[in-house]
Amino acid sequence: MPTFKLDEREIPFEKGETIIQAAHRAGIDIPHYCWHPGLSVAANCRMCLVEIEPPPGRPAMMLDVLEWDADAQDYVPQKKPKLQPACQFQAGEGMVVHSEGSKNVKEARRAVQEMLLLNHPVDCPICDQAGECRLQDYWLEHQGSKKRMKDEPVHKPKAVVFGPTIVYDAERCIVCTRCIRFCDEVAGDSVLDLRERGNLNEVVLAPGRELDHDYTLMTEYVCPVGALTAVDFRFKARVWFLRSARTVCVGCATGCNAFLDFDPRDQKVYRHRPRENPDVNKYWMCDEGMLSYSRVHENRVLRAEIDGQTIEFERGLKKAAKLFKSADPDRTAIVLSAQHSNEDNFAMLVLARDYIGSGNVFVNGRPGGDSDEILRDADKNPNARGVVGLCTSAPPAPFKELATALAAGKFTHVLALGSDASDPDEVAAFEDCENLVLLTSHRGPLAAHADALLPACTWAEADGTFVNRTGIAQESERAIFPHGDSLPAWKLIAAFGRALGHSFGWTKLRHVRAAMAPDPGAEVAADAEAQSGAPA
Amino acid sequence: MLKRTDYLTKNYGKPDGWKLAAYEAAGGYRSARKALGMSKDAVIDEAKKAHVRGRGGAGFDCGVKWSFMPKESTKPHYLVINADEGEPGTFKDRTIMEQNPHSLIEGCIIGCYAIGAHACYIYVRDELHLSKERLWGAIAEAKAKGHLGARPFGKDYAVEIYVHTGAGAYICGEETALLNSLEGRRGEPRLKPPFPAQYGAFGCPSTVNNVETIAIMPTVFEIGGDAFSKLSELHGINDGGCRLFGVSGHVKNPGIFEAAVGLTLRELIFDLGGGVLDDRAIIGVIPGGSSCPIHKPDEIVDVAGDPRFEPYNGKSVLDLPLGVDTFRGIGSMLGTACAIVLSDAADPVLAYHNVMRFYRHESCGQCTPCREGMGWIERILDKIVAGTGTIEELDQLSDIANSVMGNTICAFGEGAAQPALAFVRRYRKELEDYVHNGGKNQTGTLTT
Amino acid sequence: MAFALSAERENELDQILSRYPNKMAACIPVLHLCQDANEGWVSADVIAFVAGRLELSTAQVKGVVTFYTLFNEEKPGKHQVWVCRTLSCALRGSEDILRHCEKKLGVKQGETTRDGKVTLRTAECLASCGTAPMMQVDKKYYENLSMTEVDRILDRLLYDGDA
Repeated sequence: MPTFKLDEREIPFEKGETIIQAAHRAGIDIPHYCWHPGLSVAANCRMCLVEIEPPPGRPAMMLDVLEWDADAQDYVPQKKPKLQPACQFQAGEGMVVHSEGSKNVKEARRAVQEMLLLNHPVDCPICDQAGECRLQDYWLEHQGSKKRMKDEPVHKPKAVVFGPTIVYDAERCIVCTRCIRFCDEVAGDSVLDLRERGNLNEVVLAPGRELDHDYTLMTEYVCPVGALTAVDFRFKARVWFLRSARTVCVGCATGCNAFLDFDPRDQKVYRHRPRENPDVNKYWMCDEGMLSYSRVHENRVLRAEIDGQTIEFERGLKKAAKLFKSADPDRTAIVLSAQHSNEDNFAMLVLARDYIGSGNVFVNGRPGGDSDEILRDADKNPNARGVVGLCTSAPPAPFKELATALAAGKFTHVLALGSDASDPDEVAAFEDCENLVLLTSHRGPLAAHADALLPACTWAEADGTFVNRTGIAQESERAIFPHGDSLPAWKLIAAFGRALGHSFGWTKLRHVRAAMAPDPGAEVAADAEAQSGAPA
Repeated sequence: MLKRTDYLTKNYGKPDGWKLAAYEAAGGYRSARKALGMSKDAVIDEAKKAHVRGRGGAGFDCGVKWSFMPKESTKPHYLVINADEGEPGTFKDRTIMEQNPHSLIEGCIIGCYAIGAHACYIYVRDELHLSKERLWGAIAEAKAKGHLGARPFGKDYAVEIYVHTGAGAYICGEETALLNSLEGRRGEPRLKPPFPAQYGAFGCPSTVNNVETIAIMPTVFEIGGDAFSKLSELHGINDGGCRLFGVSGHVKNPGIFEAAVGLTLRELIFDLGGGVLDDRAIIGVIPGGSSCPIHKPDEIVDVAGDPRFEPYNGKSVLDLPLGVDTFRGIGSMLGTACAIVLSDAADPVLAYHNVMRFYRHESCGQCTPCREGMGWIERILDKIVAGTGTIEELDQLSDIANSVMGNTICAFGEGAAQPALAFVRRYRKELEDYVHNGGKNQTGTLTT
Repeated sequence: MAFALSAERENELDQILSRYPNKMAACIPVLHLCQDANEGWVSADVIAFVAGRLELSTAQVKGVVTFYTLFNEEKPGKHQVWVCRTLSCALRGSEDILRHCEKKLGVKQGETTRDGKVTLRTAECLASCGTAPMMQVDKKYYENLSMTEVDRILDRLLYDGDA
């Protein structure tokens, strides 16, 4: 691989790569606002300017500038080299590039930084970007001095409602056009553009439209400053109190890599945002996925319930198990869930086959929905492929067949993971099910018909592996501790097994994983560590 | 040395002088007919011999620019004419379009042939309604005569020319902003590379030429490239031929004058421009549009170590021939060779304010240094002119301009930083007078 | 009511489209055409019309309209007067011309007379520096202006209704 020198470090690059791309891959951050690895190059912020030495024997391109000599009371003509934007300039073999090491570069970045803040309101205390704003970070790194312009800044529209999800503040906007390019190039909906020119520039919404495509939160997320803020997150949290778990979005079968941001003090989840993975979601997530974090706190089953009555967990577990004590394995149905991880479903399968002795295995999940060519899959379950992969002897039968069988009175006992209904029209068939035990995180459509509900964790409260639509097995990390009496579903299943009188010994996730190896259904092992966690 | 020519201007001011009959009576369209009978390489070579330095301000050799176009290409090629004349002080292209439009049309035919284009767009700023009318008229006349269209002069090389209109934006005179505007977009300059010769209009190989650059091409082919170049005193340093010089501001006889390259500012102001208004003293001259640095008349040429400057060292800047490289050599810029003269009636601080207000108004705002820098400079000058500026702010002017210089996407940054630095460097005392005394020792007006 | 063009102007639009390899390129000429047909300004309806005809997003058309100074987002007066204020004109007295116009019309630059006849504006360099001071009235240049000449022009606009 050819290399170039960046501040004395050899940086390998691929032909056609820009300096910033190669540096980014090598883990060196050349400061930038407008550049985004997933968007076209705009080179408009001028923060990434670098000094490139001319090829040997060629003179550097120099520019005439002036310096005021206060002692001599006169201007002294000076020369400075022409700088180049690292986001636009292609790396070349043997090229010598100075970034942090050049005083010209330092001065240029200081100037850009000062200019970006020239008309900025500097309203950090009331800005939701505070704590993760590049203007703040780079002020410290590259400016560190007071703004010299003392006059009233240029005023522009504030709190402009772009749509149901996003608010725009033109005064905070640095006109980097990331949001416009994202809408044009990724979302495929040119709903934003610039209006006016010069220092009156601002982002404008298409007349007659709202910012209402399926990637509006992503449009906000690419904003490097506080110009775009999400209605959902506005004034909810200070980001420096939040911690991030490396999760997988459970909104659909795409399995976008995500960060789930939570406050460890109140154990609440506040935000879901993309984690870069070139093989799955690149840099992006859809609105549905980014908002799906709210499921962690909504419509939960947090206590055991018997016949609709909340009950102390251990007693509930015993009562639920009692329902299954005399069950005929042939008339017992086991329902897996495409909403749950491989570990949870594996535990369920082991319970069914090794302990209960039933081969009547079905799969359930959330019903299908909209899809697109970008990220969104019609299958709204994160692990359908994983569940199928686990069922090595015979594929699990669909939910609809279970409903049909129930209506025909074939089963007396149903033990199900989750309470979803992949076919909502078939829920009525469960009304007459004699013994329905649900191990569930949410109060789904089946819950109303359950004889026993046992509280399971959501993906946010447990580690787990999900196999996405292309067969990539990806680990999702626990964010918060289990809420209420909920247990990770595999643990709940093991407890249920023990309550049935079996010697279900698993107490740690590694016990389940050891029993599972090799990863069923996985074609490519997820290497969560290798994926860069830094937002672009 | 003053040597007047009339290749472009001979029909200026004559009744119906812009019509085909007048143009052909003076030998018009013979050059295009000739060029279409030559090979493309021969046409480019002939153009190179003429050393026509781009007349739009950048001064790039036209023949060399043509040679950058790919020889083999699956995409169509385009010739685009920059008729967005808007550089303050510049009014030469308009005279060609209004009074000699056929020279431009004929030049476009030659240019299209040279670069392998079959379509040419003349991008005229919207305000020049008479220019557009005359150009469309000339196109219609040339087509009716068979000089333009499917088979110009019976040759198998189709050429179509269209007049395109802008809508009021100085930045569209920057060639890539012009291309964006031609494509129906905001007139924001593009990143380079790719250059227009690779990726120009509609993503196709394109050449963008100034009106005068193309309009002089019929003359080049009429008298021969070499003979044309030798009209110029600066032929030896590849700055050939004749060009239109303009002078405005405080002169008795402002206007456009055609002369051989080699003319000096003194000749332009006193011999052609009739001298300074009210016979006052000159306090500053901007050589070719407001993006060029302003010079004081007592500035002396002093370029060490460059033999080209030996004849001029020690002379006043007013006696330096107006050439692309002569002015570049002294750290200045020839620009469009349309000079603006300020007599001692003018207040240089107000002139500075006027110029920088222009650049703030016309900055496209795409990149940070220009967008914010122009606004900041204008604000400081607003305050200085109002008598409320401080020395700290005056000191900041050069600092801000230094930060704009070279750090922007397009040449507008340099074009705005140059006057910003040139004025502050030469009129610091006058600026300080505004800070300390509210400018009471200045004239307080721009007008005589 | 949605904006539409007369048959004659539709014809002109087709002619404009025929000059370019794609529809987008016609954006600026078509906006001029529509602005002329819409009492001199680009309304939201005009934007929707142009976006529809040229298969562009309304955001793109809005971006174009606001970038260029000659597209009006509000209805201007019947006549538009632009006084060039850039350096060459300023050196020849354009500030006095502007002040004179303001006084005579009773409006400040950027405003329209109460009777809606004249909008007074300033312009940046109109490539008429050798004949400064100058002003543009609608589509016509008036050069080498004297105050008497300015008076005559404005009187025609205010009282005869023609430039």
